[in-house]
Amino acid sequence: MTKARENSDYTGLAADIVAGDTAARAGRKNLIINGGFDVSQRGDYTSATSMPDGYYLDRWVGDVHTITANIQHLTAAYGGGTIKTQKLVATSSATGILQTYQYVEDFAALSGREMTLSARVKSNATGYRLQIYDGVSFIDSASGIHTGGGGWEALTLTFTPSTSSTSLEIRVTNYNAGLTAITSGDYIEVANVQLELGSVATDFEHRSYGEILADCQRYFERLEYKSGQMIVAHQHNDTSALLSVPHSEKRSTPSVTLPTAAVGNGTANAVSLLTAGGSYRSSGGAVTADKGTKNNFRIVFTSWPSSGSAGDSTWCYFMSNTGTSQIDIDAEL
Amino acid sequence: MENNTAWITSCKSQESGWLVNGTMSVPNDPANRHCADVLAWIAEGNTPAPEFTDVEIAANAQSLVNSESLAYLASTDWYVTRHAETGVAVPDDVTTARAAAREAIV
Repeated sequence: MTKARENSDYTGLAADIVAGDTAARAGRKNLIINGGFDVSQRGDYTSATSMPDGYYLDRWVGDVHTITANIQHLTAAYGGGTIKTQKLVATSSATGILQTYQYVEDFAALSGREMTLSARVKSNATGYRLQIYDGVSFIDSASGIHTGGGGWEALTLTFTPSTSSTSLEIRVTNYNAGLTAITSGDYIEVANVQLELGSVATDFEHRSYGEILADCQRYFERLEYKSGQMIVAHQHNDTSALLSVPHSEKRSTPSVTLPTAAVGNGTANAVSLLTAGGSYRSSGGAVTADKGTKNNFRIVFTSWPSSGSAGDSTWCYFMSNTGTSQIDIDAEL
Repeated sequence: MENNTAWITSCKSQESGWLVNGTMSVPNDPANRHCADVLAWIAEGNTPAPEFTDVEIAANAQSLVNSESLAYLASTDWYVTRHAETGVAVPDDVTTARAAAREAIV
């Protein structure tokens, strides 16, 4: 029987060991999620969209300070094919911040370990950079700063987060130990962001859309209903009804945002409880979510008369005169 | 994102958290970032509104009475049917309770 190789078996060059180590990191090496900007459950953003601070493409925060900006989800030519990108464009001028970042959930397991962040970045302004914030300090380096020449550049940043870290934030930013001057029209476009163990940036790890979506849905999930779709609810009494909505497991108990409560059949992003006879109604009450767990919650209709008697099945009805009705389930960091 | 309370325009207590801005149910779970925002909003001196107003509490209580009364009437209808078909009297206590149930329904 051939025994497994041990470190002592590697008597060759250190480079051989490094190569072997790199090969060992070939699978599931990217420690961030949606680094290729494939998944965007909150919207397609194919048109430039105003970007107050918040989540847009899955797992990525768009963030501004003292300025305004747009965000856009684009496709760029790369290597004979295409890649997805996230582009932020300043729409006003000031000394401020224009940045995108992602929180790494399991930062504690990475404290004190050497890692390398890499990304393809395009910008027309000098000083945009890869940056780490570990809750203790901001970390960046010359190899991770864009020239501002307007072309795609491969940026890398090798770093070791503090053993006292309280966070791990992967940033592409203009922040440089302070705010910097931003001119309307300045942009950063980012693609293929990867965080991996070790001191070498390796090829970007491609995963299937389904895999990435599943990873993203640990943090955020949007349920969409076309107008006219219904879910069976049950009458709690003659004006109240209940139903449970299952969803994929979240990292913590999520916030749940429901469509607005409405009557009739002509309101955007709305939900109603039909009458016991299945008719649209002219007056109604409230709808809320409660009793959430990591994988389900309850919808409660209150003060909806004529919807049935206790124990009856009844009609939770989604309507929208434009687009879909949506339930957002949010456990983002 | 850092704790931010500016996005909170209304907040009502719920059994397991808060209803924020009328459509978002936020759990009382410190791992939830919106929960952290609501707690910061409360720390600023704000107070969540009660889950139900007095009018809503009264309406909910009446709904419960209506449901229970209707259920009682349905469960004792057979006495009335028996009386109509066979002449056997409806017990007095049932007659009294049915009258009270009808009276209670609004």
